Amino acid sequence: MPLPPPGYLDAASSEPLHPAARKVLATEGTDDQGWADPARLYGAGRRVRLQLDQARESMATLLGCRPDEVSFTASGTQAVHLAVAGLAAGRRRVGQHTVASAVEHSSVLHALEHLQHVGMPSEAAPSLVAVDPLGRVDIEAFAAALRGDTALACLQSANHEVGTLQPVEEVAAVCRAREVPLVVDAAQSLGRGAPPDGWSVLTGSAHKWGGPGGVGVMAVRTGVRWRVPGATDDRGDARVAGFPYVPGIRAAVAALEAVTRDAPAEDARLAALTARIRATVPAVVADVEVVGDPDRRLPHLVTFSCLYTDGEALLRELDRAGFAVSSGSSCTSSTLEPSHVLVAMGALSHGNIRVSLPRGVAALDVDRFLAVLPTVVQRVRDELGGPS
Amino acid sequence: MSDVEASDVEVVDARGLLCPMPVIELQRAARRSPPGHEVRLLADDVAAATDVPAWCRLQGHLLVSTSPAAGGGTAYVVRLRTKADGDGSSSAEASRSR
Repeated sequence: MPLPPPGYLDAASSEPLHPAARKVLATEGTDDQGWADPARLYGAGRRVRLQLDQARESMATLLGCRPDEVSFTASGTQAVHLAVAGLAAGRRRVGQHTVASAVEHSSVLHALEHLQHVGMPSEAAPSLVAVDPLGRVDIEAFAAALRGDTALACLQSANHEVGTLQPVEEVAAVCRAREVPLVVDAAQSLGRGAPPDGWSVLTGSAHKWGGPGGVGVMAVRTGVRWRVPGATDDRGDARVAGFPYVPGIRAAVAALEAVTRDAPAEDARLAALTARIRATVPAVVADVEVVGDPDRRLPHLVTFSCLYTDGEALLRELDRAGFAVSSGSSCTSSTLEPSHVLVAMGALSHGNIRVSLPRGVAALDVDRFLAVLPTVVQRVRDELGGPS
Repeated sequence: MSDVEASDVEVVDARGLLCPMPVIELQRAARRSPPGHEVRLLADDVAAATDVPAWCRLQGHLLVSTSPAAGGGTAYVVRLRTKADGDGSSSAEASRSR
């Protein structure tokens, strides 16, 4: 089990490197011949090729698909961008319209917006489907948004800001019936319970499950009309161009295997800790709204908003107290735009704190966080002249 | 409009202020005003469009109207809760425990 640094409660941004990944990087990453080109036929190249093929097979087993459906990318964001652009290219004749939930990760929204720049601007404007106050997408509204010219649809497995699980299987069934391919962004949930099912293209990001940065994954189901959206190359993977960093990929797979193995027990432990945070915060801090689904949610993530505070000030004070968390508020940031997730939910957007527990987090860290939180919130309220 | 006389409506101009200041100003005005009266908040921060309705929901007040304000920004008219409305804390997971 990993041992994350004390006070680090921002796993949803990046999970600390898992010991299994660290071990692979320390051995294969410094291997005398690990740098060899897996596309070459001499011994060193063949050896790296074998390692890459093994990693692809293991990843396929973890995702519940075939090895030839799996591609490794340079990041989760690249995986999302390729998933969307590749389906749009493959379904150009059908149309350029897209459908997604209103609470997708920004990488999905950016990919959909980009289609408007390269395609037919007005027809290609994405239809963003509303969510309920808990952040769950409306299945019937999703179905109603699908059109004859819909090239693709996107739905996250779970929301990255509030932890609410999305009805992926139901939406996948709707999309299948309408013959619209569905991209499932599983960045927040891979390695936690069973992988999602029903997808046409699945994407993930290794540093969210304890793998290294620089590794993402994209799986494309056999038979899905996906085309390489940009320039290609002569290497082995027909979907993703470029020389792969095999030790990083191997470390990512080792981490995902390890966390998947530990998931039943660790997810239950983290879910109990986040349940404690959900219950305790409103009891010790006045004027707080805990957001997101209390039951159907990610085990490690909890989000709440504190009235009369600003998110950045809370982050600053918590950092001073030794805690790393994140915020969907951007009150004083340069964009001045509140989180599109909180806005779509109708939740309070200011004073927002997202706590996401890394695997192996000490229960004591959660207790310490809950102990300092009331003082931190009050200090920020006093600064802003809010009620005491 | 409403049955409250214009002179009874407290006007708070929070234009130019960023979140959470418009909501803090609104809360101060609510404290000064008797239950059942209206507060008219003028704000141009984009977050107010989400946070004013959320504040009303959490505190049990009623958002009567939202409209463009003369001179820029948005006017939010809020009717303050009365004793009979309850304290609003039962909604969602809001708490006013202290």
